[in-house]
Amino acid sequence: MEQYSYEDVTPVNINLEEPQLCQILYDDEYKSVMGILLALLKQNEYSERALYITELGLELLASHYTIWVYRYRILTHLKRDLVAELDWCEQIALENEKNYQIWNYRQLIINKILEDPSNTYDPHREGPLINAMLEEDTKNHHVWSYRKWLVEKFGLYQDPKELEFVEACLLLDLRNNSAWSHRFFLKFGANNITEAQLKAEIDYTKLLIEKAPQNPSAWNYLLGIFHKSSRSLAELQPFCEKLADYNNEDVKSSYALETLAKIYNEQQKREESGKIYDLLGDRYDPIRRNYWRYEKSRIQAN
Amino acid sequence: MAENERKVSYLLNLLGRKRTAKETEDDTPLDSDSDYEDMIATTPISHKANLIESIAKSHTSFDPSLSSVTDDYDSQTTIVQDETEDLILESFKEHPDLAFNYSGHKKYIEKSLNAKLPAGYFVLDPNHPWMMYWLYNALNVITIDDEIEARFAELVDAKISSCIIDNGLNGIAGGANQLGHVAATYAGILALVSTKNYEVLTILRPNLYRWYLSLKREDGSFSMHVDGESDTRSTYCVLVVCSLLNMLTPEITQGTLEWLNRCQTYEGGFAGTPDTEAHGGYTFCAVASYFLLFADKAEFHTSKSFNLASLIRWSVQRQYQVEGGVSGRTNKLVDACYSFWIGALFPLLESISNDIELFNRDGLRNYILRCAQADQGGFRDKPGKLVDFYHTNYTLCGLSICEHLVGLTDQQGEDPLAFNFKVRGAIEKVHTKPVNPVFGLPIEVINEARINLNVREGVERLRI
Repeated sequence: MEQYSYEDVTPVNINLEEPQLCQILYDDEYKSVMGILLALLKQNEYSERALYITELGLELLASHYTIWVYRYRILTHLKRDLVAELDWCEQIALENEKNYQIWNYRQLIINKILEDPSNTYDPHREGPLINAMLEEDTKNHHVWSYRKWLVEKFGLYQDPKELEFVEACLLLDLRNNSAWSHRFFLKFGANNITEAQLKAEIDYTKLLIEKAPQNPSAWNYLLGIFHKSSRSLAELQPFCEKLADYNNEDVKSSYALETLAKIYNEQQKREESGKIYDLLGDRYDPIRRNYWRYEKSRIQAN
Repeated sequence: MAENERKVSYLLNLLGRKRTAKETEDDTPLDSDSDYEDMIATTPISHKANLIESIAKSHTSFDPSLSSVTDDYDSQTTIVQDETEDLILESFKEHPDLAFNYSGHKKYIEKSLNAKLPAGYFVLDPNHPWMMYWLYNALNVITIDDEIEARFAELVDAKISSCIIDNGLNGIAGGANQLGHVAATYAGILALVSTKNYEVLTILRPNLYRWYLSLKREDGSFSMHVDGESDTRSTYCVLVVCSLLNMLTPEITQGTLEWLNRCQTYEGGFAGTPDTEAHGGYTFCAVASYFLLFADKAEFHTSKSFNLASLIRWSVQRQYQVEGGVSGRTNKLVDACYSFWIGALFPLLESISNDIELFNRDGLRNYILRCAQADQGGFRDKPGKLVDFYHTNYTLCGLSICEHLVGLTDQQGEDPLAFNFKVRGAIEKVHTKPVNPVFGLPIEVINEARINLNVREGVERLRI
């Protein structure tokens, strides 16, 4: 804190009084930084020294939302270079994998940059950071959500880099559900998909299901496509029968079996459908016995 | 720590950034907002078959040794899943019965409230109201024959008071002199409802109402704070407080239902914002919100609000055969905190599905008592992790879901459905009070608050 003087600032209370439940024994550094930071916030001070102390505060505790809000207000008052700010907070992101405040902060900054119609922002600038973070933690919910926001904000649905990234993730781990979710958004989020594209997407998913027949991510994706496009499941019958030959006790996928029950039900083969739900509950997926009974009761109610 | 530093340097280098990596605190005692699914300790070669052999099959309708369908595709997901299953089976073996360590939990919670927490706990500094809700509620949920020491309530109230900003005109903050935050406000209000501080709640009422309207977005959702994010979580938090304080006006709820509907994903669960990945915490927030917005369960079937069948399917998929416990997302690991976030979905979903039981309560109860319960008191994500306040509260609320069957009363009126939960049954020996699955507080606490805070005449004035 040597760069600036804070001598005139009286630090405010940060839950120090006693007795107090869950009293935190803050160390001196945290106590002093937060006491001054919150005092400056209280007096609405937007200055270089205030900006500096938010940096110290965030280096101590990046999940402290108040500091982020205050920092944003200071930056906009001081009309600082917002692109440089994005670079600055990359490090905080990398050091705090699970932090989510940072992603909202980046959205705020980028929106602010674009508020001025003469400004542009190249979303590909975000690529290295989010790719590096997702390589470290392939299912990081906050980073994937941010990635989705970028796609939506900048219309990157067709951007080859997006699909390439998703496919690389899936190649590495077909059970990466975050990657599947992002794929669904890229494919179905904005544009109407043509029949040929739909067909290709179904084939792609079936191929990946064959590699890992008991992968719920791929099955949810496949069933999601059918629901989204109001397509009858009937065309999946041969595919499911191959993966769930229950008459010969060769069931490679409980999801294929479940889908068969639905298909048979659609075809009014209620008894067969009910038999499958019994098999699921008794043998192939016993933890969900209650649910399979419920599904069976729904057939009979129809 | 050194490893983290190296990693950051490496990544910075990769990005071509010039700043040097700084060392940061990473041995924090708990992290209240993470996925809790870091790599778990590596176990030696899988010996699942042996473990399964050695586990007594005595526990009710749950049997981890039943076979289920698997495939032989290997990836990072299957590696950590296998390791976790081994860990869980070890724990089942070490803890053959369903004992509940009441005195250990009471001691852990009371000690956590009373103790001066070591400096490392500064990471919880933006979460003071949360600590009050988690710990006081956890204590309340397990206090059946006993009484809670009165001084705890006084001190809970004092802590929350220290976080109230401008009498509530700017909400309740995460700590003294911080900025108001919708989730901190939610936790603070739940804490005050628990201590029955109706006086302060009544004072806060009109001020919080104005603050919430200022955070309302055009799309029907709410921001967490000025310049904050909006998601199903922030929206649920606002709806909970507005219904508890009886100020759920059309101005508050306008557009909210439509926005929530957009958050259901192709998988059936809900995401925090439209088109992101379905997630247990956000799904709970969204589904509970419907019970705050609807006064009649017929609305679930008539309003085309969301796809109930796919929601139920996604919810039951969260439970795992070997563990008995539940995960928060597809292909992620079991974590005891989802005992409530996912667990509470079931009484909600069952109440609109003819009260048919949809999931395996015994399975989750086995996971909670034999894996998440720590020998020295408190609850944890999974064996090998440390206990913390957050997991202790939500695991106990989850245990309550397993021990009691709750459902909707036949009353249909103007009240949100959330206020109409009653007990329908319970297992023989319970260790918890029945919890209201929308609010995460004991049903008795909600019922008493409803009577004391049901100030109808005030609503008109609020609209100014």
